[in-house]
Amino acid sequence: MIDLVNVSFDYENGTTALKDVNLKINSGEFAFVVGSSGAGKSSMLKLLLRETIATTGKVIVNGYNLTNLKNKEIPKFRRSIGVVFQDFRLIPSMTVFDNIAFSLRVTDASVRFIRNRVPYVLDLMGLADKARRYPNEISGGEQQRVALARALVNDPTLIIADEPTGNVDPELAYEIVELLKEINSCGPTVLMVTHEHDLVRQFGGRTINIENGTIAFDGYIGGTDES
Amino acid sequence: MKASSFKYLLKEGAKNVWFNRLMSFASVGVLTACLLLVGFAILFTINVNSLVKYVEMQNNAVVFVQDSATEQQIASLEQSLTSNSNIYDVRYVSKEQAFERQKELLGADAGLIEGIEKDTFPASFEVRIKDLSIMVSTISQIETLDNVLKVNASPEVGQTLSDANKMVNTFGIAMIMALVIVSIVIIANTIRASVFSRRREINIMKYVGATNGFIRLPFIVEGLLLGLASALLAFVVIWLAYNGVVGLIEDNSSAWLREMFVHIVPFKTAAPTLAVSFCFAGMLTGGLGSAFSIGNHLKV
Repeated sequence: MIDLVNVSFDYENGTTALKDVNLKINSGEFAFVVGSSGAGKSSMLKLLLRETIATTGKVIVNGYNLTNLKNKEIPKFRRSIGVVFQDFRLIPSMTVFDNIAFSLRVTDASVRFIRNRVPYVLDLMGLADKARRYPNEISGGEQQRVALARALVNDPTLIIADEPTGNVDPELAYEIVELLKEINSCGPTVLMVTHEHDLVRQFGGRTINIENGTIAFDGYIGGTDES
Repeated sequence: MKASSFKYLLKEGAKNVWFNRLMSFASVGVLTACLLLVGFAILFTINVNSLVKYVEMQNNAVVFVQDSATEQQIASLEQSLTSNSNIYDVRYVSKEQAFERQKELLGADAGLIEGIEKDTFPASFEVRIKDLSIMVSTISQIETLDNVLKVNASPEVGQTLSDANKMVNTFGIAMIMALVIVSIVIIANTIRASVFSRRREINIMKYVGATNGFIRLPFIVEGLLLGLASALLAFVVIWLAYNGVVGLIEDNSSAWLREMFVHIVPFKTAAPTLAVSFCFAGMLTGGLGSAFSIGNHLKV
């Protein structure tokens, strides 16, 4: 699913963001990536989304070798993953329905399929009555659920969530992680980047700690959540 | 791409015009202003050209015929003048007609020429010169013809008018070109600012796997629509303004202005060219401007 082999990444200004990183995340896993600011989490995400290319080493995601992926193949690769961002990144000119449907439209999905699939995902996320609203007409928590719905609608095999709880209150943050766990139980691999250690401790599971561009810890921690 | 996807993207482009109405308004404003500037420059050049051509047409040469010339020789001279490629109008004025004209010119003082024989004034040909820049050589050619007594012409005036015509053309084209360049720079920056304000939107589309073409198309449609709207707006404004100015000149009591009015190119003559040029320029600038401006933001 995700395979980083001896990956190093240097920025153009010479700053080394990742040093000889080796990481393997298998299909169906749920993993937290934690680390302080500037540790290398964002750089790793950029590599996983093929926003940038590793200076050395090999990055394989969903069977795509991103090190030598051609530009015209990037859209197809990105359709195989679902991404959720801290700042939701919804398109302001589109309704909730259209924001979610956009992920299907880029795949040339039929209108009929879109009309069936989007309401189903909206219903799953508890957003059935928000379909015709614009992003600025719904709350932050709802916006994040729309972003999750958009990431899910294509049935991706991998979901990458970059600080998805960063812009919501603790209660909602808990709900979002629960939702991600639920999604994970249905099959997709989930990689959640966060700096909220409390949340990680609460849920437990595989945790990868990145410090100074290297993996300082990769193992399982027990959760305190008994619900 | 499926037809339904294509239809969706066209609809998105049209929708975005309204959704980003502030930037749309700015783009249409700038594009309309530029089209108006270029349009007025074109109309000004067309009219000055028409006026100079009119003045040129008034530049006649008078070829006086020797009294001794027979009717056959006069006919032969007329034939020679007509066959000259730089002469486009030849009118014969007989001795009697010349006398009558003189009488008319004298008006109340016509009595001064009473008693004078009607064949006192020489017969002549009034000719009109096509290309004033070679007027001098044409006059010389006429002077060498048989039975020509004298040629009355003002080659200096001809040359001046010819130079003026060339100058107006050169200045007009230079002015239009300069305005077109300035307009393109302004429009490109406006579109770039509009696209820049939506770079996040483009970024999101890239993350969900949209191809560059899929992202570009609505922006191009948007640019084309804004270009078309600007062209139509500019056309209506220039139409009203032009007819307003023509109306003012028409109502003016100045004889010179009224004389000039006769030679002003009517709007309906220039309208088809202007409408097509405006639509073409507006849509091309809008569409291409959007397509190119978006390029930098697609590298995600």
